[in-house]
Amino acid sequence: MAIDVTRDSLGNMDLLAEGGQGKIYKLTHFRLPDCPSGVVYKEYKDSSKITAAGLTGIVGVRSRMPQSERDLLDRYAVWPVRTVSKDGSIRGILMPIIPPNYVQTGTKPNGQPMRAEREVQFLFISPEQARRLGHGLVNLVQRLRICLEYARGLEFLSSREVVFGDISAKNALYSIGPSSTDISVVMVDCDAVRVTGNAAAVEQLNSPDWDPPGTESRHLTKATDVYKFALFVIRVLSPGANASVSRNPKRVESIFDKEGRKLLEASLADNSRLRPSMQDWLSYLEKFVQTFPTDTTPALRSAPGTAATANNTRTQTRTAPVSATNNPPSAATDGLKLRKVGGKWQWVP
Amino acid sequence: MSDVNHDDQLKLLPFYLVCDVSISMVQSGALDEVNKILPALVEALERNPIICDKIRFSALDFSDDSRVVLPLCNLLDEPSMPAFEGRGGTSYVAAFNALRTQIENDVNMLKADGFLVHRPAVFFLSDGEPTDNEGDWKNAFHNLTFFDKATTQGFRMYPNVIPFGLVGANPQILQQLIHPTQPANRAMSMFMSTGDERAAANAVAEIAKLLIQSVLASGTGVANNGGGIVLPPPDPNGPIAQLGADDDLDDLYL
Repeated sequence: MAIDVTRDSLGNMDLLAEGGQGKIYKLTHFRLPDCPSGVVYKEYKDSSKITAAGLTGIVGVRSRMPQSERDLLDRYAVWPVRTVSKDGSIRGILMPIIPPNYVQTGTKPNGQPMRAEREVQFLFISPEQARRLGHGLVNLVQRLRICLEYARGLEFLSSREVVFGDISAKNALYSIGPSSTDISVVMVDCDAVRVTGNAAAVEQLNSPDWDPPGTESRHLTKATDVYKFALFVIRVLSPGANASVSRNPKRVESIFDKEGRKLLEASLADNSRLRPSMQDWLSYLEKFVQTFPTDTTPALRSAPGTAATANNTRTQTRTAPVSATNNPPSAATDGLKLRKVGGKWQWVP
Repeated sequence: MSDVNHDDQLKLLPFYLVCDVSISMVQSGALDEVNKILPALVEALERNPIICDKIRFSALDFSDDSRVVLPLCNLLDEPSMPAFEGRGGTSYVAAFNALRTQIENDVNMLKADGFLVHRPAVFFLSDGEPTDNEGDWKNAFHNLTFFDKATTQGFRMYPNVIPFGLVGANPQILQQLIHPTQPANRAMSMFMSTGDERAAANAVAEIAKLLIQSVLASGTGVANNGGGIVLPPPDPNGPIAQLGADDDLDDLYL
């Protein structure tokens, strides 16, 4: 598979967005056989700040994969699929279009239309606030499944010696529905990943409030990915005031069992060698999620917020689903409460 | 035994928009544009809601007196945004005195609620010269901004002040409201409209962009022990010029 295309071959393009690093264009006619839904072009503003070999390496990770693995990668990440060159030098990359299930559209409670990528930051704010902004309520079981799916994607990369690097509130999108087990997470902004033993093509940064301890912030590794994933777990499972900046595992300690609490604590260790792997997280979450009901479940009413109120997540009562058009409502489970019965979480009257 | 320190230190950066609502602001159409600032800021925050874990916002007006238009709050928790309404003259004394009282109350409230508080940032927007005596407004500004760390004399919670001037404001006076002016890495700037009075609305629209970018960038930067306020540069081809405390004002209008 050729991994480079020329800029001249891209044809017509419409500017979609402009960021600090570059501009994103929608390609109106250009198609790739391995990206049937279409691609966008990211052109870097300053190509002197990118490492051509690094970008080629990232694209090469995907192109070298057998089809089955590539399908998995495309499920877990909006991965750069081609480099784009002009006059012999790399100017940008092509990326698949973000699938529509990761974009929230509909009407806000105030009647205004809304369209927003479902960045995981919307899972950190209070459910009431998310609803006011037009996002659906996401209950505790769904949140745990989001953690599981994110762990699946990060483990997939980690086991292939890829460091994601800038795990943040905006660099992953989530999708829920139509059924309760229909939950997925996709990583975006993947051009700053790196393969272990190789430098990144684009400088690997730490988003504010996601910096790992001490000097680790200068050299992002698989261990810093684990640290940041632990921050994600805390923030997504204890939505509400200050969740987006919290590093306190006490916010979620009542949700996990002893093994989970130890895993979370170890993941936040200052000493990176004491941290578990993404495989440890994936194995644990696969097992732990099984202790919760698999049926469609009620939505989380409010933020656990603190260790004390986190206990309340075990008896959350259902709130009405929102009216956003592509956010399917939970099943009719009015009046049910989530309780641990015989070691298993269940919805009970 | 874990080597992890899990204490969350919650830091907030309070912003104050202090807006001249004298009659000239109404006549130029500037106030109509100013009233689009808060809704536009809310819209920007709706796309970046987690920034509200790090900032709070308040708005005060001033003419012959000064009133709190929006008490310090999380903007995303407010069901609607209040509007500035025009009246009277241009008393900088009223603005500075009200601001000092408000900042002191708000910072003490946030600290009592357990927050660490960054030095507040004030966006001061005016289209006119003060109607107060020079000595009076200078004295009120001194009371708002002076603090001697060695002797702890003055106002310990003094804010960073970023003046925004529309046509009609005196750039020489606004330049004296930039605070602090040193050290260089903490020095603030002012932003002046370079157009005539017909461009007042455009200038406010550009100011709104700068203000929103500043709030978003500052809110993001509060993490990682950032120092607080971030001032983005204006569009070099736009109707606003950025000036420091020592810049030559002769360069402002050609």
